[in-house]
Amino acid sequence: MLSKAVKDELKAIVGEGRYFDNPEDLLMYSYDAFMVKGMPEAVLLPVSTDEVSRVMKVASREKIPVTPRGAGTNLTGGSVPTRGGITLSFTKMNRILDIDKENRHAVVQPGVINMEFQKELAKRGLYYPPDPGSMAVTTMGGNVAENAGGPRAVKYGVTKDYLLGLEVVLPSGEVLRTGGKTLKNVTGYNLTQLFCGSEGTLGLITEMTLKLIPLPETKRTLQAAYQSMGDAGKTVSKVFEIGILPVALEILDKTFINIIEDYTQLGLPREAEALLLIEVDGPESAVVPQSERLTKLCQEMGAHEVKVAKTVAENDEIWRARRSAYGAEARLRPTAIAEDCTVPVGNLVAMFQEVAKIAEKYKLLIPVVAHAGDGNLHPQILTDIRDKEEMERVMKAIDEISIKAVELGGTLTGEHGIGIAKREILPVELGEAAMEVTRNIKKAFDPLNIMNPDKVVRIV
Amino acid sequence: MDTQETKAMVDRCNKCGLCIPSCPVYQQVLTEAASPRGRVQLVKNFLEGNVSLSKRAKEIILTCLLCESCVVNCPSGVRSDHLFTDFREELVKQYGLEWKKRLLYTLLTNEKLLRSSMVFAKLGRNWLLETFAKGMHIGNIPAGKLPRVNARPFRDQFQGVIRPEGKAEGRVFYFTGCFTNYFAADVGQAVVNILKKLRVEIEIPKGQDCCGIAAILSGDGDIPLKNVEKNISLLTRPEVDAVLVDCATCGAAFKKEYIALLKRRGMDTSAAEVLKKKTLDVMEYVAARMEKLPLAKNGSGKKVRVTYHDPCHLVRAQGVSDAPRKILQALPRVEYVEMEEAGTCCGGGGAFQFDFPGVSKGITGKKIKNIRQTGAEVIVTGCPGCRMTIGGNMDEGNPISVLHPLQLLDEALR
Repeated sequence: MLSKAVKDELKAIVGEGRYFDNPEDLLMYSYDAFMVKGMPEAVLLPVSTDEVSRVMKVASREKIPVTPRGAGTNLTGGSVPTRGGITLSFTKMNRILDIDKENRHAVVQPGVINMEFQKELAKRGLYYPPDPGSMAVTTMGGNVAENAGGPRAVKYGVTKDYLLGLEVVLPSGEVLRTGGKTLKNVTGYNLTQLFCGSEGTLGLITEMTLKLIPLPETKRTLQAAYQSMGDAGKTVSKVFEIGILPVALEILDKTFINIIEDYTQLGLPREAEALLLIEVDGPESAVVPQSERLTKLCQEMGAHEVKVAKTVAENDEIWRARRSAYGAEARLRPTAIAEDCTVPVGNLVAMFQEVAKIAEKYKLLIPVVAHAGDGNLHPQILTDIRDKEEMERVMKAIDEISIKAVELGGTLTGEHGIGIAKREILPVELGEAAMEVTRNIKKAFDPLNIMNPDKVVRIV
Repeated sequence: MDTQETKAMVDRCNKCGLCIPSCPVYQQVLTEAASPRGRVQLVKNFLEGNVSLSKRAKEIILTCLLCESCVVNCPSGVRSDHLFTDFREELVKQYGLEWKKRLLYTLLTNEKLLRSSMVFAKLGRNWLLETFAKGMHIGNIPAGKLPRVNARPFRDQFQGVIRPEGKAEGRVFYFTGCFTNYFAADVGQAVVNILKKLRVEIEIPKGQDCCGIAAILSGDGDIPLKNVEKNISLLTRPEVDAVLVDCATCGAAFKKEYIALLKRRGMDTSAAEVLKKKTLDVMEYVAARMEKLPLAKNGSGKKVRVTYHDPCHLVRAQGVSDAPRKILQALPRVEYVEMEEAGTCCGGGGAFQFDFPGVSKGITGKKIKNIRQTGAEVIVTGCPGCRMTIGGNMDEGNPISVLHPLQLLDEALR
């Protein structure tokens, strides 16, 4: 419990309007997009590194747990305050500090929204590719803390690939700078990458320097329908073999195709076992022959129907199916749990088959959409959180899917993170030695265990 | 509101947050309490007994324009607008309406009272506007910029059915709404002129009452219930092809809110469904018949640059956005320019601008900036509330005319 004196001290740091401790406002910060909830005792919305630092000094003096939060779209419970304490919401610390065209980098505060950032860059012909599904709302601080990915990862990589430097407030309140502004930088340990994907358990990111690239001239999207998932899977590998590096390669399975068609009536091929979406970008003179070559390849690989967009509007039309996936599934069952297992691309089809087996074993409805080009599957477990008996089966299925991915040479999570959701099965992939190193790193940065405790690893 | 249907609706929210970026209130306030997801979670927790109808809960639910941006952006189809209106009803049961709102809605929904107060207003006493402009802090709109009262109520000019020259090609009801009747006779006149040129018989039914939406959306469905029933029975007469409205909000009431209100009260909605089917915004009706109007192909002389603002109650509540653009683009002397974020709320939101003038001003400021960026000399929109908010907040030095799109069409047809 926070004492009145501590609450007053915290309130004085940020002032009225950016401090809350009434039940209704605390409730607002008790959840993210995962299913676990937890009430904070005080919510603060800082606007400067100095404020963050002063809050952390109080928190470490009083040993108060602190949960950082961006837009609260975390799918693994990373922004849920499981131990009460302070929630630091960064939504008001949202300025783009610099866009440097000459040196191709930008400096942003953690509350900047990914999409807003992208819009500002596009005006200047610049590009920051990482595009998590929630990019319209997610904050850059959250993106870095979670090392967010997205469909474009196939060609452009993920958040970590665009990270040059950080400013971080440590749990003690000390301010740290990592990396710099240059592409090359091997000075000291790579602390920048250590914070990237640390899920707010090591420190608070208060500023980041990001690498930018030129905005591609144009893009083309193709949609290919297959009678067999195997053929669709093989096409994915073939695309690279013929020397094309697409921006995105997405697969929807038959269950998803039908759920989406029920909801959107887009005219999707209901009979297809798999729908493959491919996007290429670059100059017009390159994307046109590439899309022609890809059409031929899909047909050779057994696609019975291939559609190619001719305009940007038609690109969007094809992507509508993919974008409608989560909305469509939400209408079927009250709870959808997004899984995130990832395997080497060669094992993609095998993983699809394993998910289908697990769905059958536990009598669950699990449609699958996959960022096929990087082997990242999102099996969507459709259920009802109020149904205790079914939830038991769901939890077993989730663990089995994740562990199967590791057995197939993959990983528990490709882009959603460990958070609370996968904390208990983390040792399956890391092994005892890596777990010990992980715990020691956590202790080195956060000896009091106040920095987003209970996430990723539990310190006893 | 403690029904299975409502509970199933709040459970549909999987807290993904995709409703948040389009919320104009969130963009200003940047707290979860000012986000649609936060409000939906508040309603959910109220239904689960975790929060009470506290003062703060009331404030959170009222800090919403009911602009429906979250509704159209929700992948799970959560009708948050209905949830919030339901919750507002609970709040009114608990706290009652503030006296000023209660008085205003009572006045609006009682034609006789409204009429006589308008006589007073016109006589220069202006007590209605004085009371509400000052008392309710329409702080953002200076009293001098509030609309002038019509010389005589618009509907008084017409007796019986208005017939076009020659053979009539249909018959419509024209529901003028309070605004055209008492403040915007020029809009009403434009509508009548155009409909006559389309050769339809126009009946402006006697006894039409305020649509009541202001009270409904504030959570008091009892005050306007009589109006709702009266309007439904008056406007669903079988011999009429369509009920035309020139006000986005009245249209939203007929197409959407009446049914929701009656449902909430467990009343029969079949007649309201008929009204929904018959109701068209007058711009929808006109846009579908543009080829019948004698418009010049190309205008001579300088063109006027015009931009259009999509009212929430047209673009989202009714799905109308092409019709006004089609009309404007057909005008020979108009150069139509699209503004950025044309579909974003103007920040008025009925009582919202009185309750939260600071937030409202920020949203309106953004809208006006987007209008100015187009370089337009005229901004048109199909909602009197938006016209009042936009016009009232336009800076004195460089005002842009604020009109209904059909006023431009009427002018082009002269």
